[in-house]
Amino acid sequence: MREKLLNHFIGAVDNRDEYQQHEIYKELAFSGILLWYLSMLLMFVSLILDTIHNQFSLMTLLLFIINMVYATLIMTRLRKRQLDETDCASIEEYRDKRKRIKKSSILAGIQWGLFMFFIMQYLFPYLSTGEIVVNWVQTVIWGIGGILYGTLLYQISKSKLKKHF
Amino acid sequence: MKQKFTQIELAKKVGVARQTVNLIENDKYNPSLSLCISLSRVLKTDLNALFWEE
Repeated sequence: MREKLLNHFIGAVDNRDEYQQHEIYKELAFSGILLWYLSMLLMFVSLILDTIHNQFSLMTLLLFIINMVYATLIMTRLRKRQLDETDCASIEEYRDKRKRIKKSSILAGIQWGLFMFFIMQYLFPYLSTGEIVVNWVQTVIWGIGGILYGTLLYQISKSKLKKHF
Repeated sequence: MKQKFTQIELAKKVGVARQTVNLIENDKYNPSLSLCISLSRVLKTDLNALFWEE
């Protein structure tokens, strides 16, 4: 079934051999990643347009649903086949990888917090009403949001480290 | 016993594309173990003689 779909998709008459399949999968995977980013960008642009017109369009909703379903599907399938796990042969290796995860999670938390703070406090209010009102409460809320996001990311990434010692 | 095949003949016998045989010959693709075994069977040789570099 999968082979038939693949042949139909690339327009091949007969089955591909192992090298060709490998290369086709690589190209399709890369195209899929590009399509995902493009779709996320479109969703963001659609959200900005909605904010300017003070509405929530069906287009934004559909793009959001498609992106979420796509991401969930890929994550679930990767996890099911244990393709996202990282093996650690020693305690030193485990500690080193955990340290790297912690560092990247802190960075991701800060980035998320700053991005959300900027779009929710500056960009969307400006596009919607033209007024920007920033207060400490909202700053603290996005700060806590960033910490929670970073912590969640750290916990998820840490759960993918498998101890073999 | 040495076997003489063109790339297309060998490709047909092991069930891959000629391009794949060409890439293997030029060290640009590492074939799977099952393909290595098929190649050695068709060429009537062993894996060492076929792939091992001194």
